Parts: sequence; C-alpha cells; structure tokens
Amino acid sequence: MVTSGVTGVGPLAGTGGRVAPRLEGATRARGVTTLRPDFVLGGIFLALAGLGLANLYSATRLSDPGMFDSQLAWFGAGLVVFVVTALVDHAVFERIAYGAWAAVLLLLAVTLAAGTELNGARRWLNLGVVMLQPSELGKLALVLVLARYAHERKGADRWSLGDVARVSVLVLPACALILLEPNLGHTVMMLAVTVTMVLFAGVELRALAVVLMVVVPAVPLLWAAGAIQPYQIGRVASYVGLKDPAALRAAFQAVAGLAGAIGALVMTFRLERPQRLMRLLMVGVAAASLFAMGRGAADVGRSMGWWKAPLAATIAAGGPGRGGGVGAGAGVGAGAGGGAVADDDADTDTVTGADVATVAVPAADVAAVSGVAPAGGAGEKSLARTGGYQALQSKIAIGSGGLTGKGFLAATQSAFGFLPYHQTDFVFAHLAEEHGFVGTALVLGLFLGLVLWSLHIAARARDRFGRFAAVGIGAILFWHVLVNVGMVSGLLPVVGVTLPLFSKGGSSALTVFLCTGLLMNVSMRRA
Amino acid sequence: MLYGRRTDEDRRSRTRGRVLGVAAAAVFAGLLARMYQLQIVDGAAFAARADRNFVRDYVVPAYRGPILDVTGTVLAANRSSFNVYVTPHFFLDPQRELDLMKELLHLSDFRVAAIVEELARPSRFPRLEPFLAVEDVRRDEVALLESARWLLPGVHVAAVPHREYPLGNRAAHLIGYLNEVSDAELARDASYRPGDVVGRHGIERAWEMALRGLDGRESLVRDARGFVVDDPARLRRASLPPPLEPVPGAAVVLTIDADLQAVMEAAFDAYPSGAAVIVEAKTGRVRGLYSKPSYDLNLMGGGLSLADKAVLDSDPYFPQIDRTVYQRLPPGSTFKVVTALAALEEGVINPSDEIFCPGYYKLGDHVFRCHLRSGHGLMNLRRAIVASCDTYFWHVSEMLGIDTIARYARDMGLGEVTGVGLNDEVPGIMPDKAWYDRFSPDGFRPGHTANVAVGQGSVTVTPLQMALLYAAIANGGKLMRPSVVDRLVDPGGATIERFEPTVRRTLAVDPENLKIVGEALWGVTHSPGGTAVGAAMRFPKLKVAGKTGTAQVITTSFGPGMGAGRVRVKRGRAEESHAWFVAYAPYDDPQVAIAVVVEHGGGGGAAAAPVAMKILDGYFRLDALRGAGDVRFPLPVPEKPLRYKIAHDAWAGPSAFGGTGVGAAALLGAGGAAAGAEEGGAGGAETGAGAEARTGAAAGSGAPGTAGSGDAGAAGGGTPGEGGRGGAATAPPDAGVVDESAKKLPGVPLW
Repeated sequence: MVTSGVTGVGPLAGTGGRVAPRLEGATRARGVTTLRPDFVLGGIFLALAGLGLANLYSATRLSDPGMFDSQLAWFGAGLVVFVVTALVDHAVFERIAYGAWAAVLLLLAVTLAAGTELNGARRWLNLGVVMLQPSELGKLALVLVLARYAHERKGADRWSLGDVARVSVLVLPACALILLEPNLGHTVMMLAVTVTMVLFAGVELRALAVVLMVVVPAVPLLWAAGAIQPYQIGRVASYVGLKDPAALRAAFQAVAGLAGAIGALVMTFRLERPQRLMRLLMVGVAAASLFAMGRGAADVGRSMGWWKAPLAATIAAGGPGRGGGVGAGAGVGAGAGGGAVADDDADTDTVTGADVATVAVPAADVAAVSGVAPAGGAGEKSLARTGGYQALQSKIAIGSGGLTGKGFLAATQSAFGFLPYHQTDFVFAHLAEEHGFVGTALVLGLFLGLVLWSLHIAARARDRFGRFAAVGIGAILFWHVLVNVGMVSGLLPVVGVTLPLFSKGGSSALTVFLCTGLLMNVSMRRA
Repeated sequence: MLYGRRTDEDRRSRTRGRVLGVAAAAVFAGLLARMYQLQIVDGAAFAARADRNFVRDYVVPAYRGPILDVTGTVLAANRSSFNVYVTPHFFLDPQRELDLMKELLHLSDFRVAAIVEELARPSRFPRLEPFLAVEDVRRDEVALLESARWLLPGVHVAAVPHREYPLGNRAAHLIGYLNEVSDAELARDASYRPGDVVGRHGIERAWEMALRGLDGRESLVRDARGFVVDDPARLRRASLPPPLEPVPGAAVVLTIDADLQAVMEAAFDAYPSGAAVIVEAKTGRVRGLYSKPSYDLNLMGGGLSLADKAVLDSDPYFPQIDRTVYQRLPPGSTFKVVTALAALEEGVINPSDEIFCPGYYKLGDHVFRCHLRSGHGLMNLRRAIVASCDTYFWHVSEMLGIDTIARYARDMGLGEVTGVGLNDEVPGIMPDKAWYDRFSPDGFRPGHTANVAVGQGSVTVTPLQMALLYAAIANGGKLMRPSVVDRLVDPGGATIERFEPTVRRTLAVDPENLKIVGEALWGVTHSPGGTAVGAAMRFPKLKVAGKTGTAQVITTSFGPGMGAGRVRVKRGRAEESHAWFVAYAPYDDPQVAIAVVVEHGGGGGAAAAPVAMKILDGYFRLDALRGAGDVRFPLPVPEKPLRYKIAHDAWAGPSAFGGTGVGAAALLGAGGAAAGAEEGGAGGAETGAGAEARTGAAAGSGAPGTAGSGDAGAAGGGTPGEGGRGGAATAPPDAGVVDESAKKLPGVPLW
C-alpha cells in the first residue's frame, strides 16, 4: 500500500490549462496531493479476492483445473491494473470518460456485428489472446460518464427532466446494444446502476413521473416489438410462476397501465403552469393507461383465475410477494428450465458451446428418468418454478451446506455435475455448499462492508467526480451481489450476472479490479 | 467535503448516501435471511436432496438356497440366465444391428418387432438407460453375440439368477415354485420389494425364510448425466456407506428321495389321478410324497405362457391340488382299523367274538348292504378285517357309539393336521354326534354311526394322515409328526439345524390290541380271502401288511367338507369309488408305512394295492442300494458367500445396466472369452450329468411299472437306480452352482 509520503501526479501539463477552470478546486491547482492509504478497503478487497480464488479453486478442481490458473493470471494482471488505477490521478478518468463511453459503444456495436457467438449470444470479442466482454467494461465506463455528467451539473439540487433525458440519451443506446446481444443481465445492471446514481444525484418528482410513464409501458412495447428474447420471457414467466408467457405479458400490460395512469395523474396535478390542454391530455393518457391495465388484468384473470390476478400483477411488478400462492407454475419446472439451461449466460472466457450442451442433458434426464427433480414435498412447486433445473440444483447446493458446510473441496453438487455453471454464475452456491451459512454470512458481510465503505468513501471524496464514481462503483458491486445471490438462491429470475471476485471470467475480474482501483484512488485522495 | 469546504451539496449527499447505505444493508439482510432459510431452516431437507441426487442404492440379491433330496440330488437351484439389454443411444444403425441380432440369437419376428417398438419410443433426451431386449439367451448364443460385440455397441449381456428345477415335474407339489411377490405381501412384509420372487408352493413357500437369505446393499454414485462415477477423487466426496454383503440362503435337504419319487410316478402310470405317501414307520420322516397329476415347475416361475396356463387350468384333474395333504377323501375300509381298535380297547368285543353277516345290516327301517351281497357268514375281528366285512363293523359301531369311534380316530390323528407344514394341509373331518347335529339338515341319526364306522359318511382324511396312522400301528403306538425336511445346510456345507423325529403322542391303545389288528392286516395280504392277497402275491419278499379301502363317492350335501369326496372329472368316472391301500412293511420289522389312493380307481385291492406294492418294492430296492443311514453328498452351493460385484463396463460407454443401470455387461466386459468358455464347459458337464440322472431314474421306475414279474422289476430297479445315483453324485458340483458370471449380477434398484 502506498504510504502517506508519496505524492500523486496532477493533471497533465498540456491539458491542465483548459480543464482546470471547470474543475473548481484549490487542491487541483496545487497539482500535488497527499495519498492516504485505505486499509479498510484494501483489507476487505484482498479478503474477498482471496476467498474468491480459493472458492474457484475448489469449484474447478475436478471439472477443469486449468480454469483456476487462468483466473490466477487474470488476478495477477488485475492487481497491476488495480495499483495503476489507484495511483493515477482520477482526473484522467474524468477526462477520458466520454471517450471511454464512446469506445464502449463502438465495441458493443462491433461485438454485435462481429462478435463471437456462444450459446446463441454475441457477447464476446475475440482479441486473439483473450475474449473480451465489452458489456463488462461498459459498466465502469457508465459510472465514469455519469460521474462526469454529475460533475458538469455542478451542485444541482435535483436533476430535472432535461437531465434525465440527457442521461437517457447517453445510456439507453448502450442498453439497447447489450439487450440485442442478447444479455438481459447486463442490461438490467446498466439500468440499475444508472438509476442508483440518478437517485443519489437527486431528481425532480416530475421527472420521475415521466420516467414511470415512459419506461414501464416500454416493456410490453419492446416485447411486442420482439426486442426481448423468448427465453428471457420464459425465464421470467417461470420465475413468476406463470405457465403461459402471454399471461406474463398481460400482467406487464396491467402493471404498465397502472404506472402510466399514476404518472399521468402526477403530471396533471404537479404541472407548474397548469394548462387546460395539457391537463386534458394527461387525463386522456391516464384513462388510456387504466384501460390498458384493465385489459391486461382481464387477460391475466382469464389465464390464471381472477382471484390470483392482483397477486400476479404484484409479482410481475417485482413486488415482495414472490413465493406466494401462485400455484399455476407447477409444470414450468423441467421444460422452461431445460430450455433456460441451453440459452443461459456463460460468463467466461473459456467456456465452449459443447460444454453447455452437455449440461443441458442432465436437467431433464435426471428429472425424467429417475424422477428426482419433480419429486418432493410442499416446497417443490416453488422450487421448480424459479427457473427450473438450475435454480433448483443451486438451492439444493446452498441448502445442503447447512450451518458449517461440507468442507473445502467436499462439495458434491458441482463434483457430480448437478450444479451447472458452478464456476461462473452459480459459484456462490458452491461456496454455500462447502462453507455453509457461516461462509455465506462472511462473504455477504464482506460485500456489504465493501458497498457501505464505498458510500463512506463517496462522503469523504474531495471532488464531485470522485464522489459519484465511488457511489457508482458501490452500485455496481451492490447490484451484482444482489442479482447474483438473489438468482442463485432462487429469489430472482436466472439472469447471467457474475459474482465479483468469485465468478470465473477475465473481463469480469478486470472490471472489478479497475472499479476497486478507482475506489482506492478516490479514497486515497480523500478530504 | 468537496473542494475543501462544507456545502449544502455535501449534506445532501451525505443524507442520500446514508439512505442508500441503509437500503443496501436492508437488502443484504434480506439475502442473509434467505441464506438462513435455505441453509438452516431447510438445510437438512436440502442435504438429503443433494445426496439423493447422486447416490443410487442397489440391492445385491442374496443367493437363494437350493433344495436337495436326501441323497443330494438337486431339486431346485439357481442357474445363471443371460439377458440381453439394448441401450438405444448406442444403437447406431438399428436396421443392420437388429438384423445381426436376429441372426445370432434366432429371434422371432415378434421379438424383433417388440425391440423396434421400444427403440422407436420418442424421447427428448439421449436414451442412456438400457432396456431388456431378450430374456434367457443360451450360452452358445451369448458366445456368438460376444464374438460380434464390436458390431453391436449398444448391446450388452448380463447374467441374472434363474430358479431352475432340474427334475421338471418330479415332486412338484412338494418342491413348489417361485412367483413375483404380490401387492398384499409387499404391504405386509417390508423386506420384499416389487419384482422380488417369493415361494408360492411347497417347500419353496414353507421354507421361504431359510431359503431366501438376506439381500445385500450397495450404493453407487451417478453423475448428473447418469454416468457411474468411479473416479476415486470424486467418489471420496460422496462418502458412501460401506456395502452390505448379502447373506446366502440355506440349502434345504429333504427327507424324500427323488428316485423313489420316480418309482411312484411310474407306479401310477395307469391312473390319471391319485396320491401316495410313504413315511418311515418309526420316525415319521416322509420318504415319498406323490400327487398326480403333476406339472412342470420350470413353467411356473412367472414365465408360464398363456397356452400352458390354459392347459393347466382346463385340466379336469386339477394338477395344482396337492392330493397328499390338501385333498379330502373318504378313507373307506382303511378306517376299519380305527373302529376295531376302539372296540378292542373299550372291550365291547373280544377278538374271538363272532358276528353273523347275512349281507346286510338293518338299523331301524334302513337296510345297509355289505359289499358282499351274499354275506360273509360268521365273522370274528380278524376275519372281518381280512375280508373287509361291513356288517361286522356296523354291529360293532352300534355297541361303540359314534362319539367313542370319533374319540379314538382323533387320538390317531384324524380330523387334525399332521403338522407337516406344507401346502395348507387340511385336517379332514372326523365327525361325531355334535358335528352331525350341527351340520346335517336332520341332525344326528344312528345311521351316521354306521357310516363312520366303515370310513364313509362325512369322514374325510388325507393320505398323509392315513400313512401316519398305520405307521403308529406298526411301531407300537407312537403317532409321529411327519417331517419332510431333514436339515438345513449353510453354504459352507455345515449343518445349521437337523430336524429329529418327534412323537406327537402315544396312542391310547394297548400295544397288545395293536398287535391283534396288525396280525389281521397281515391276513389281508396273506390269508385266503384277503382283499389284497392278489397284489401281495407278486411281491412276497416285501412282507406287506395293510388294508384296502374302496371309498364310495357319495356326495354329502352338508358340512364344511361338502362334496369333498368327489373329484371333478370327466363325466362317468366320477361315480367310481376311490381305491385305497394303506400298509406297512415289512410286517415283522416295520420300516415304512404307505398310503396310496387312486382316485375313482375302483376296488382298493385291484387298483391301489398293486400300486403300493410297486412303490414299496422300489423303496426297498433303493434302500438296499444305498445302505442304511444318510448318504453323503457334495452341496451344490458356493464355498464362500457370493459377492455380487457390480462392474462397470468400458467398451459400452455408460453401460448402465438393468432397469436402472448398474454398470455393465459383466460377462462380456470382465469375463471375456476365457470366462465364457469355462462357463460353457461347466454348463455342458451340468447338462450331461443332469440328463444322465433323469434318464436313469426314468428307466428305473419304468421297469417295475411295466413289468409284471418281480425279477424284471428288480433288475430294472437296480441298474437305473445306480445310474440315477451316479448322476446325482457327479452332478452336484456343477448343477446349480452359480458360475462366475452370475456373481456380477446387476443389482436391483431400491427405488
């Protein structure tokens, strides 16, 4: 770790003159800053990295020992990246933010056009030596560009509708490109990080209402336009517990209608200069939304019984009531799950298509032949519902860990091939199986510590860019852990999101090292 | 603190940061709660699920004990039968491979069509589970299949145990057979699993517990794709329980003699149905138990074809009834010894008291006709038994009363089960006054007494009861418990338990009176006018003393034994009387007692006595041949407990086997050609010896049956008997020994 006596380098001489006036701050003007090491961040980070490596070693030892070496190499490279990122003045990042964002957009476009297709998705760019996943790096670029934008907005109390629109123009193209890969997981991550940062910046209620009005109805529209992949629909339907994807669509329509109506009504009463025409228009929008909601609800009702419709709508909206009494999804299990296996995200640089195909066999094989998967008690329906085979096996792995786990190198679910993607997306289940509740509590605690510490760093940041960058990085970590652990434990639908520092994957590892390096960078230059 | 000074923005950021932090902490708390729920609350259930994912428990079936006769001849044993399994996934070119299989195994078009149908079954997944394609393939066909195995990658052969009865229908009712366990039995006894076989009849059923042994258990690890995991590094993770060795069942050694059974079969040649029981007079050990008609046990083990079953079911003589213990028959005049002993013991008559037989007996206004219509004249006890005079006993019965007769009869074992413990043995009926009052529509009438006194009316007995009764007369009054099992022997050859003769009770009859009756029985076969003199004359050396019986088939229309005397047969013969002959021999030193009944055979002296004589002749010839006491013999059981190793086969890929697939074509994979050849050799020896024994015995029994002369019978009985023995002596080491391949039995899955 860098000691306090070391000094960092200021803005590069050539550009300093032009940039400095906009970057208000006496510190910058001095050109030299004192670097104070952050032992908490370093400690948590190294602990997580160590645990992640050890767990990956255990997870890949039987299936593919070479993976661990590859990951070790990535971590080695990542450490260098970490140190460099931590030491370089983050003004550099601020300066390159838009450029980086443009580069990411370009990479994403190239990926779509000429990327390597694996498992039906174009997510990787083959750089000869390594396979790069631009959407991984895209998250960091997103944080940079939003932090840069926040900095440019100076100390605005709340972002206006215009800000939201500008941010949307920045972010949505990338989201669209990623969605087209298709990669629902990363799309959701981008949006979630954006929303988190916007909320941190503060936003006008009117802007929120418009977002609600526009974004939520966009989902069924996108769906209708065919922008959402059938497997993604199936996975969510399976998660919600609907047999028929059409019912899910209807449920979405109902929710969107409700959101649109609320948004329109808020607009009607919160317009600063009430105009009759505008009010009329808003009431019209509200009425249309309510009608759409009614239609959707009616469809859902027809499909799954009237009394369950409100519940389904709640669930479709991502409400807290999942796992409730929606009994319709008993049959989803093997079918949807089996399909999901083949399509699922393989978030790694080395995984091959054949590899995935072999995983697809057991799912139903086991279920159909020996009757293992469908058998079971009352909890079974909800087990089978949440993403089929993978989620079920993942939950079995986690649950079988018990309090203290089966012990290092003693997991059976991955050893005998029951836990698919046990080295990538489902690596947390492997950890839970070997180390039990003690292990999961420790890792979750460390991650929470990391997230909270990043917020702490943001509070102590010396400049606005650093503050927003820290919040954004904290958001990346938070959402990754939430979506991954939620997915692995059957709380959320199966979308391919990695667990930072634990999942195998070069791009992912590199991104995490970059992020934490930047975090360390901001922390070391704290006020 | 941005840019060195505290601003509103700082405060706002701090607040929003705190809100985000609290939200993040809440979300993480939720995730942790989820972990708690999965790992602590439901942890045990999920742990069980994880185990069930990969652990497959297999039953390692125990070796079922063989059944041997007293000389060591194998009556029931296990041979390995070879089943052919097909794994659809590896059956690459169905047309070509099916043609090849058809040619090698001589499959019928029907079988081929069944395989094609099974192969065509749609499946969403690669079909790695083999199915049973052809059952019980011959060894030479297995060898052919093996020679072509590289052409048939999806085909494996596995050896499974198959119960075999080398002697076919010999002593079928006694030996019994196996059948699949029923749902009711499954519900009653948790130690059986669906698909198990269980003894259905005879010894197989009665000694099921001793024969079946104790199944072992073995666990296998199968990965998510169904492949058997045998890599030690992975296996260690499974921490499987140690395998449980199966305990082989005991060998049941019977007291009967397979060659004597053959003699009995031959003796009955002329008659379609009947039964014979021969017991040792002093011990009650059953030496022969024959019920005709019989059936081939090898057809009964679940593989009974519809055609065979139809033949069996439509047989008017009900082959499945064990006539030695299950058929209730009126004893006729053979019962008269009971009346005579009762009269002597009660002192109602002296042996010398004479009663005049005018050919009929008048009771009230009913006239009973003696079988000799012209009348026997003056009869004393001895003459009455010798000539089987009914009138004499009718008069005696009047003096005794039905209850006294019934009391003595029951003391002598009638109306109660003998305790042989086979085939739902029936007690028969020994009616008394109360019985008639209860079951007869008109209540008890004096005529019932007269009927009972001569073994008619509602009296019914089994041949086994009668044989034991006469044995008691011969041995001085000891009523023995019959035994058919001599001992149980463990796989190592050591005797587990030997069953000594037991006396049920000593008859409440003065031995002097037994002698008087015995002397009369000697007269039946040797005095002028004796009813069995004709038959006995042909076998003077046997010194038989016995009593004939000609039991009229009267249809009683009441009582629990209603209509029992009548055997449903082709119309016309049903009216013929049952012919009985019950006897012991030799008279001066009784060794055996015999009861023979020829159903609807007519007169006891004409039909039953010659049969009994032939059987006794065969018995003493065999006895002379074998010397006294036990015969030593090697046991057809493995020397050490079998270990059914479940092998994994390499060449067939994931050769999961049997219904759930334990690894591997044990025979083809592990054994290879050498093992196959060895087995072939052993099999050949087995068949050779078996055939020899069978033909020998058949010839031996055929001779006395066909030849009228005792000399020819003696010659015929001697040599073939020897042949049979020779066969028996050499056969056991091979016969029934489960060969190497059978040790690699595929297990049966627990679920």
